[in-house]
Amino acid sequence: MMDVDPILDVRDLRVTFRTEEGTIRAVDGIDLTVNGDETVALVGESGCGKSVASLALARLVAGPGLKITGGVRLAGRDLPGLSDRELRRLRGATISYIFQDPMASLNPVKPVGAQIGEAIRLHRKVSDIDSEVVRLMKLVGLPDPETRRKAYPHQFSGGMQQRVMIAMALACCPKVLVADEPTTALDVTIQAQIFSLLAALRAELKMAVLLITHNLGLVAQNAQRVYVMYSGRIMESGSCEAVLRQSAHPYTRGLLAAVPRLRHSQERMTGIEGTVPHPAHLPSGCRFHPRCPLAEERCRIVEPEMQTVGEGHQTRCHCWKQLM
Amino acid sequence: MSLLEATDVTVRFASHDALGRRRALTAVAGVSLRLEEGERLGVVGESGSGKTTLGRALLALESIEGGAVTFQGRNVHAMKGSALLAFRRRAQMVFQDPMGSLNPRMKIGTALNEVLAVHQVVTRAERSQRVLDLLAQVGLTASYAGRYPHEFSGGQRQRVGLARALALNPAFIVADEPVSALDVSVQAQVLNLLKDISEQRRMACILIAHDLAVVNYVCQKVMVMYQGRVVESGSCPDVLGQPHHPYTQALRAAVPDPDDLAVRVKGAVLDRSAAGREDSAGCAYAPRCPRVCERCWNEIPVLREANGVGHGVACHRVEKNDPGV
Repeated sequence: MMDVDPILDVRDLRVTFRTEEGTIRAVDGIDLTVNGDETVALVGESGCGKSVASLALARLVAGPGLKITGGVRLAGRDLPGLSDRELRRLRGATISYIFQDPMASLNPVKPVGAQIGEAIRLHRKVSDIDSEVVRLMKLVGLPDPETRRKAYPHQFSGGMQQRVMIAMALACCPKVLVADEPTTALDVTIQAQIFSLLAALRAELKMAVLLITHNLGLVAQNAQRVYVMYSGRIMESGSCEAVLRQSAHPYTRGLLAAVPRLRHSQERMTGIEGTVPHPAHLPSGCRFHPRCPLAEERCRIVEPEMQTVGEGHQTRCHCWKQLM
Repeated sequence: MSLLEATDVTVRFASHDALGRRRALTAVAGVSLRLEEGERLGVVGESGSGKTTLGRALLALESIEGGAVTFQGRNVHAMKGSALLAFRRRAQMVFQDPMGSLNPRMKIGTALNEVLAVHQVVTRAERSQRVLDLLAQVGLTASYAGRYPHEFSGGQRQRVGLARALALNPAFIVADEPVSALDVSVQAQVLNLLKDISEQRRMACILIAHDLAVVNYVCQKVMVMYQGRVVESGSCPDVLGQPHHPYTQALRAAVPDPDDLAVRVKGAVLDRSAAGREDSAGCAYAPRCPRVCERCWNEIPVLREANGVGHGVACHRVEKNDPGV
């Protein structure tokens, strides 16, 4: 394979908050790369730090005693060195986001066309903004854009609202689209439509997608590579084929065993015992050891390093060979 | 006699259309079902299909405009006073949002105690022990009794909601999307718990969910609703394994499975906004249906046995035994 520079290259990204309970390491040294033409998934349970990590890419996190360190290289530029002004130009233009609840992100008292137009006006030099808005609405499959652009968000269904969000996110042809649980609030049939739209757009606009989700089914269906995150750390990474079919981490295996399947009946799902540790009181050694069925003495003491399992497949587990 | 029987239940709400004219919205239209002791039935459908309203109507939390619901042979919507209170003791609901159904200023132990006090099922002295037993049953330790709802995680709160519903040892519960807000690992724990308790106590359960796989895991029977009507019903292996109604087929195809790599589901289903009005003359699914025919626009299909005993399908195309369905 040719060695091409990834569009997004994250090295040792750390996000910490200082709170009354102590320092919270929400993201604790993650490495992540996304190539120009792929969908990469970042999966994990709530509280694992996946959303904070994705927001930290464009320095969009706020909070008490916030500190972000580490390297983020986006489309050939190092983000930590940029001024606020330069960062602002980058957000929405090179990297843009869609979130879980479109209604929470849209302005309820402004027509959707004006909201899509705002992104164009701020980032691009386009004389006829209205026709550009219509083009974008057509692109994301919003019916009858000439009249519907004057409608307000509440006049759209949830799926259509998410299409409006996608149109806004695409207004400046971003290189990377971060989709943070984009369909969690939607019905499965609408979810299927949104994902086929995203796949078509990714191919047409040649952009990379970073999909943040807890749904492993969506990962299997849409992503080429996957990072599994737990307690601020990447636990396993690799191609979907490797991670979902031959997982080398007990956490990933636990997640997979906890998904109910439609195609075959299960006697009993095992799930994962216990809960995610509090980020201010992380366990010693491997962060997963209190919940891990394979945990042994060294897991309690030494945190495992990332180990290579196969080509492009890495795991943070002392005992991974027992799984293979 | 079945434990619970619903015949032709219809629920209508006063609503208004886009022009502000008053019109009735039929949330549930002529739904019938039967539930035996210890049986678990899944009700699936998209948001707005009427599944929650149906669940509430079965528990007499919503008044009905037509039909009847009987519990152990007695009409629940005709109950008053002590008979109604007795019914509430036997039939409980687990709400979707546990935070919305717990008093934020009441400790969990106190909240559970209140349930026991209102229904006077145990003596005052026995109550606190019973509260601890309940918490233990749903996998929470005694120390949780002294905590407030905000000190619980989402999964723990859902367990509390389950403990509250189970406090009176009901014969029947309606669980409305009990796991849709939870992470998969916690979801598995709560579903296992629900299944175990139903099996141990022979407690009947209606599980309202939008996730077909969740219903497949927990329930023996399933009912698929679309715009207030049942479009398909039967055993889980029949309905979910070999769906006959085009809507059930579309729903099933839309569920992403982690075992299927890079298999994209067909996004052929139109957006709900394109769907017909519930008072149209024909099948409500016709505007979205890939197999629509002339008859679908004019005549509402009724639920008929299609593929063996107990597997009902409401579709003109299936009735005609069309090849390729």
